[in-house]
Amino acid sequence: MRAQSHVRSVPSLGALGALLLAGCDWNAFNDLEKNAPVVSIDAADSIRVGFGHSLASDARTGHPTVLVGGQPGSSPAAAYDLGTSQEPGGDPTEEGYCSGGRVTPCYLADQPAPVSLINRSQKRDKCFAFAWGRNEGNDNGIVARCHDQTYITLKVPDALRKKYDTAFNRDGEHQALYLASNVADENTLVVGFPEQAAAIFYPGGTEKAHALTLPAEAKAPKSFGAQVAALSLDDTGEDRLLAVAAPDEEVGQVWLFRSKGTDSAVAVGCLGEGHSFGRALGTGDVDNDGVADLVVADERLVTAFSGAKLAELPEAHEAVCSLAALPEKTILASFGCGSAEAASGCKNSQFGAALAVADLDGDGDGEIAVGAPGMDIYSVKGAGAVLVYDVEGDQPQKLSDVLFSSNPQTDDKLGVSVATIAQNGRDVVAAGAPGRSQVDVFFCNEFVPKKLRTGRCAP
Amino acid sequence: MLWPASGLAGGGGKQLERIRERMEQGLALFVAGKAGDAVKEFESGYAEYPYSAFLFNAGVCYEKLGKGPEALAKYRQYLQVDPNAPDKQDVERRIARLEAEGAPVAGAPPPPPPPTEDIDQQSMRSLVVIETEPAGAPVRVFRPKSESAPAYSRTLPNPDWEEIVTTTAPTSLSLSVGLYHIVIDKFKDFNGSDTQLHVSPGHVHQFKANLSQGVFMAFLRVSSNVRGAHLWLDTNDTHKPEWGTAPYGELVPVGDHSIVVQAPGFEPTSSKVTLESGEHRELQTTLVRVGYGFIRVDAGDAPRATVTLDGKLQGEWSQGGPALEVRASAGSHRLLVESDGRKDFEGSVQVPKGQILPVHLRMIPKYPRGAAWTQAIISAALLGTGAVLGSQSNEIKKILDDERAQGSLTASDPRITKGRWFAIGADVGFAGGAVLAGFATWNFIKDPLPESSKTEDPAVEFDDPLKRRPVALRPSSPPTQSKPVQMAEDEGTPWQFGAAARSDYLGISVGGQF
Repeated sequence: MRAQSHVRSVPSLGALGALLLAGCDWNAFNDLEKNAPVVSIDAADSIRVGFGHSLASDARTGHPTVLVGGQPGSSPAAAYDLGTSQEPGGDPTEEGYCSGGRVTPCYLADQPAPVSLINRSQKRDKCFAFAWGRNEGNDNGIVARCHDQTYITLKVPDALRKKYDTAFNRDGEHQALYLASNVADENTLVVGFPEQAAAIFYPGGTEKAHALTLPAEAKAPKSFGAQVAALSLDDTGEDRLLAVAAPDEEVGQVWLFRSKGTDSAVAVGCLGEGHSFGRALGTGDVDNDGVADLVVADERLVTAFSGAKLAELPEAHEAVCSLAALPEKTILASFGCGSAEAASGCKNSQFGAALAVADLDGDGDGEIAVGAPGMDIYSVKGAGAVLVYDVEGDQPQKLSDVLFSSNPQTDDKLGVSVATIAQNGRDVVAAGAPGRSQVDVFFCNEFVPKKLRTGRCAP
Repeated sequence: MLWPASGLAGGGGKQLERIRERMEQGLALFVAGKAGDAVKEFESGYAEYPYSAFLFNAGVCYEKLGKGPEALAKYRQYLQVDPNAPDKQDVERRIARLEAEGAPVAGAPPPPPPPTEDIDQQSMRSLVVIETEPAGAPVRVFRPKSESAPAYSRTLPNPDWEEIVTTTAPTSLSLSVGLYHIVIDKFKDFNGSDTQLHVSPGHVHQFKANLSQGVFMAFLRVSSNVRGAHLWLDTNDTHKPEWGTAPYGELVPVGDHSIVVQAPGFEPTSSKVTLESGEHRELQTTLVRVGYGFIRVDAGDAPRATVTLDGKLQGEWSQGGPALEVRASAGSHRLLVESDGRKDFEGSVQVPKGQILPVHLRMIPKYPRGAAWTQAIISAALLGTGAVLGSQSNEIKKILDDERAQGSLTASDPRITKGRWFAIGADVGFAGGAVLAGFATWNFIKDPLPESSKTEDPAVEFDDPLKRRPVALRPSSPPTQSKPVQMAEDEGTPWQFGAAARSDYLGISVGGQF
């Protein structure tokens, strides 16, 4: 009988062994964590509200730094070095953006911008224009800060400065301030003051502000300067196209200005199409012609305009804003919100809240990343997403990919801000999710070719 | 010697058997060369039953031992207690010879050595018991004067025969070996009768004459290979009182008789015999055991147990109750005994033919498995938890893999941590469960206690409803063999039985007709 017990115990021991061998490997989760295609950057301690409200990155190769802004008027910004090895630092490299005492006052801009400051004694790297305030002298201006903790206050024309300061002092509230720059070694900084319906720019390599003046017949539209953009029309960036949006008009307007060298800019036209046209602007080479293109969002659509074609526009003398007079093939693509299995709710998606042009596949042309912070992800309301469109193909209006977090929470508002960071021959997308005070960096997407699928984008 | 035989005749059958045993045992020892032991047997026989034959035979033994004075004393005592012994002259001659040997005269030639035949087996005296019905009949005993004497005649004078004894029945005589003729004279209104007698050495001969019938009865002695087998004479109804138990002999009327021999555990046999007047018939029966037997099971200190034989439940045994007897055909059987909380016993048992095999079981308590069960349950719980957690972990892993493939997996996704902990929990569960399962398995297998076992006592005979217990005798060597034969008795105690004293088979040697 004892022998029978032995015999009976053999199958049970075998099953037990098999079960044990089939045990779970928790290291697989370590691998998942280490090589997750999406990395969330947590808010710096100094940024308590609205982390990810704005993003600014230097699109130039070798500049993987991104400036993440909090809620304008109440939170500072912090810089993060995303590196080039798909291992973004979790802690900010710099937190002195409106969080220190060296700039007083310091009002964080709604949209900061990278800027090169080389007209001083030496060229400085990794500089961002990010706020209204001052660190030297007696007048407020546009504050820029570099990686070496150099602060520069760019002077603003007195009339505008006083108007801006007066508004601050009168309302005691945040005054909107939008900054943008083109991609060039000596890039041009565009500044929009929508509440003052004014815009200025600093030509590359200079600290002198030039006003962007509308044609004589044109009346400055409301919210002029609510979005600004700068496009390099040549390799040096000295020939550039500046865009200033006034989306709050009944028909949104995007004024275009042409500037070369250090000259003042002249208006070359006004794009106008539908409600909230110009609510977001983006730039980048969409059609791979070597010239940056302009991407404009309105209430429903995102439209890509050829920078090269826009450069053909003559100086404008009339205050007519439409798309009718554009040269042929100026519009590269126009598309609306698309849904996917995971993403839905286009109606309230705030499609077009932010725009970026990113060369996600490294083929030279850019894909358009559109922020939709009201998008529902797996039925999670307002989790937000970034919708990616490859306008180069036969179906430029077709949604190509949706970037979202695998851990969506209600009202994350992912996509309020979108930026691109150059990474090893291709771009990756970063998007702010102020609802959870994080910025998600998407290292992988549909466009990444096999040869570039390594690390977090490994198949 | 004449000895009042009323004690023997009047219900003294058993006493006569004991006298016979004494006499034959002494003779057997003498024949076996153990004259010293034979002396003790005869002397103690005389002390118990004062028949002079014992004294004479003791004297012969002393002579054999070379102890003349002791022999002389016995012979003198013999004549003293039986002054009219029929062999008085022979005894006196022995006395004279011994006296001469004990007091030699100076210059005289040494006395001749005693004749060898004087101290051999043939010189032994036998006891002859003569009874009549009714008692009081005159008895005369004749002996031939020489070996060439003609046969005794009822009608003619017998000058070659001498009368050596005149007495009345019942009587007992001490006679030497030889031929005799016993005459019962007419008595009152009864006829006389006579019979011839060959006296064997060292035996007890019994004669009984039924004078009302005018003939001697026949003597029937029935023996069997089963000592104590029950005997019925002239009836097949075994509910009637038995005639006797084997070996048993008795004077019976002449004619046809049927004998039924029966013993528990044996197939009964029936025999028929036809006896003639004065005939002595020895009837040897052989009983064959029945083809079945019993096992008598007791389960020791187990409170109760069920007994299964060859897969068939036979009954339940309870402590304090009687042993469970199970009948089965003779041969090998598969015995299974089960008791709650104790290890089963399973083994073979050899059921004897016509006997009961006492089987004593030692039912060993089962080794406690409480710890093993506890470990097994906890192990199962751990394994189950591990399986659940593992399943959950795998499910999460699969989802995360899918999300990673589509590029949405976030490094800070809490499901990664959750899945990791589930995996760790699963592995801990598996490991803990495996360890405990190992312990449980070991504790299930481990059993330091011995298995239940059985012991068997020697088989015993069936219980005898007649409150006796016949015992089968082993086949033995012929009766003349002097070597003692060991025989089995019902209680298993061996006892010595001299070959010359095999009264079971020899019985009383002679019957007679008058």
